[in-house]
Amino acid sequence: MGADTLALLSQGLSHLSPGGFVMLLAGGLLIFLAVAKDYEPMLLLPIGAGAILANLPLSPLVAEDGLLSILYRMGVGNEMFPLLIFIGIGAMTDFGPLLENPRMMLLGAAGQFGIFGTLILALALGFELNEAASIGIIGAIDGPTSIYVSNLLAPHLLGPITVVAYSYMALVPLIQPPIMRLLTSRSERRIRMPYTQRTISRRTRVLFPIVVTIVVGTLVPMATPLVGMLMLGNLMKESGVVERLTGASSKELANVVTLFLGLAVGSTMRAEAFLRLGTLKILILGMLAFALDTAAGLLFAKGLNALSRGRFNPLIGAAGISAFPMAARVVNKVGLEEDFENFLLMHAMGANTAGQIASVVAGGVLLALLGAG
Amino acid sequence: MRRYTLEVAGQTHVLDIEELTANRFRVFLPDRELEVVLSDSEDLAEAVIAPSIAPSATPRTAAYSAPSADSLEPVPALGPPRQAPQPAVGEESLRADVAAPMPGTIQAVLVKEGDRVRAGQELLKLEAMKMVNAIKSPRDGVVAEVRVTAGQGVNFGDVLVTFRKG
Repeated sequence: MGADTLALLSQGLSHLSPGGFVMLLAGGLLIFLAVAKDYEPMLLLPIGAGAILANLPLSPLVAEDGLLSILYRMGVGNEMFPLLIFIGIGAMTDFGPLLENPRMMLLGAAGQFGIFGTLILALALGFELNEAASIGIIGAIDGPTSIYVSNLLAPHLLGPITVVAYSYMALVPLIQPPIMRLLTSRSERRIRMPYTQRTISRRTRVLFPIVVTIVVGTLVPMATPLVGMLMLGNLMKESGVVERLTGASSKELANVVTLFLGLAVGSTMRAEAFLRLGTLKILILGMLAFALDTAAGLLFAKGLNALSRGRFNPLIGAAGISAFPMAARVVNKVGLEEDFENFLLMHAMGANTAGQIASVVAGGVLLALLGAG
Repeated sequence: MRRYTLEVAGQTHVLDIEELTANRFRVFLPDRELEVVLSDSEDLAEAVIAPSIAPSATPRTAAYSAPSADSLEPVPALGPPRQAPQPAVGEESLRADVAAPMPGTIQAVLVKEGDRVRAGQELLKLEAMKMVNAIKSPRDGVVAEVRVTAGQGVNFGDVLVTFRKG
């Protein structure tokens, strides 16, 4: 056996780099979080697997015609996958609690403050404007929106931003409650909010997605793809006439695309792009974005409480983010800790679905402000 | 808004009443809101302003009009549909019942008729919006009736458990 043969057979070993090795560990960590800790396993497991597959020495999967490269070009580089996922999210979302209580829309808007607060902080830390805006979008607390916006504005940060967004989303039940307790008094948390049941007519439910799409699309053209797909899914669900399409969108399509998206995003976690100081900064800024969103929502809800003379439980403000339905559940839980008869769930769900719409709009606003297209 | 503390049959109730207009009041009960319309042509002492508080399945806000010959049209309540007044139910009033705080599905029933329960004890598990919520007893007492079974869908205000003395 010649030396050449030996070199050919062992080229995998000889191409093992320290950076690549660290990325294998990082991929392993994501899989660990998914398997052992149940942190957003639907995404973190494929992302972790993608990261490992992409960082193995000389991996053919990320060669020009490798599977991961194809997946990336197919749906991440051109934004198709996040949009397809939005159809599924729309088909799964019940906007009923929001329609019953439309003032919750205000809270959804307040919950987007973190985007702009984080953007400013990121600028101060030396990121370029397009990078800072992409990091800020973590504050939308919405995975597909983060992917969509950051891929348009700063594709080289896609990997870290997606991973940070999804990791923190899994941590909502840990990040939010301390901030909620800090910013509200015990008596505020005990404010009872009777459930306000109103029957929403089918016509309203069907018209809602259409009207939102037209209004948002006209005001914020950059948000049209995101809001349009979200509302398309919802229209199919509420219309009740295309159950097969609704089912396919919310199950098969969403699942397949989630797998593709996770693998493709994982493949962007290459050592040379990921192992930088910037990633650490994004990790910290992402946490700040979450905290700022929560705080802004709470403070805004405290204002509403003052205006309604003490009849609005400020905890609901914390649900004005896109992390659905975790944020609403957290609000319900913290409320019940103080008073076991005070169920805030339906109100919080209203704010939470408002947060979903608002985060999509905020993403469009951000893109418009930066003149991306 | 004014707060009234009432004692009925040895039980203390707290009512918050907001004056909307001269003859319209919004009453906040622990689990829902009622809109009460008073007819100004009638002597207050005779006006029936004690609507049934037994939680009902449908409306969130029901307008109650004091009966009178020339009673005013009831002001439209916050949400349709409206409900006709029902007779008051005496002792079994206010917090004697546990009503569904929101629509959902009963996942488990943890007590049965005749069980002695303490305030804060879990009575049922109600699944709403894919979240399981513990429905706990608002007071010490004996379960008179469990009106739901596991797997049953309930609406806001449906009575789930009633209590009796003992």
